[in-house]
Amino acid sequence: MIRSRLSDFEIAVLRLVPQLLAGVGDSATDPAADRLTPRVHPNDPERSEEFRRLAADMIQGTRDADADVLAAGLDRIASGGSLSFEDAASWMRALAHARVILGARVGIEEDGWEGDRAAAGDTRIGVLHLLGHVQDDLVAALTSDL
Amino acid sequence: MTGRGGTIAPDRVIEPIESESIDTARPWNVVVWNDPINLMSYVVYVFRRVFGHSKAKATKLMLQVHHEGRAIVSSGPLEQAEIDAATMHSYGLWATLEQP
Repeated sequence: MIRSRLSDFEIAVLRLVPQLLAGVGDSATDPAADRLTPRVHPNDPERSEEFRRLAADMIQGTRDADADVLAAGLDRIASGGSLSFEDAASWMRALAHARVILGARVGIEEDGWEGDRAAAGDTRIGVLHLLGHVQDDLVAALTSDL
Repeated sequence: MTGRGGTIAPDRVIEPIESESIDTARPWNVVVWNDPINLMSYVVYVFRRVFGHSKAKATKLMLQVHHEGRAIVSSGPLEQAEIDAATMHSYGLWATLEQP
């Protein structure tokens, strides 16, 4: 088991993650949509669309399952429990997806955004930072014995 | 870290796309591209967990992605390459396929 050092505040913010994962719109309205299922054949839109169609079920299913594992895990931690190693991969993917979604909606396209003081007031940037810290801590906890 | 094909295995096999222009005998590369969001520590974790790489190998690949913009993370038949690319997407990474 991974001992949780999440604060109540962090747990509260993490509860946003399942909502973020479930709230991805279509390509026409949500910049996050294309980023989550990028073109695998950059020079062949038709084959890319075929791949996206076939892979979409698997990717969406994994995302939904990960959101459920995260939500259940947060309930457990909020009442004094721990995070199991089995759940850790779901948490990692859920956190990554949430960050990618936020980043796409804020319009981050280049490295170096972390130091952008002008953008610092955007709440989504703050959540990006927080989710990043949690993810970093989780990686460290998972790999500390290796 | 678990090796390749752990709990990430998809529920269904992705069928390769039939086309005269595809030479399915030549291997396909799975390319992971740099993105400004995913943490370096997370990318190393993904490469170790999905492909079973050592920490050193996974870190080297991650740094290649970070500094050069892309890295080839696996190579093989189209069907496996497509599964690997979809797995990368399921981890929130940006991956494409190419045939050298």
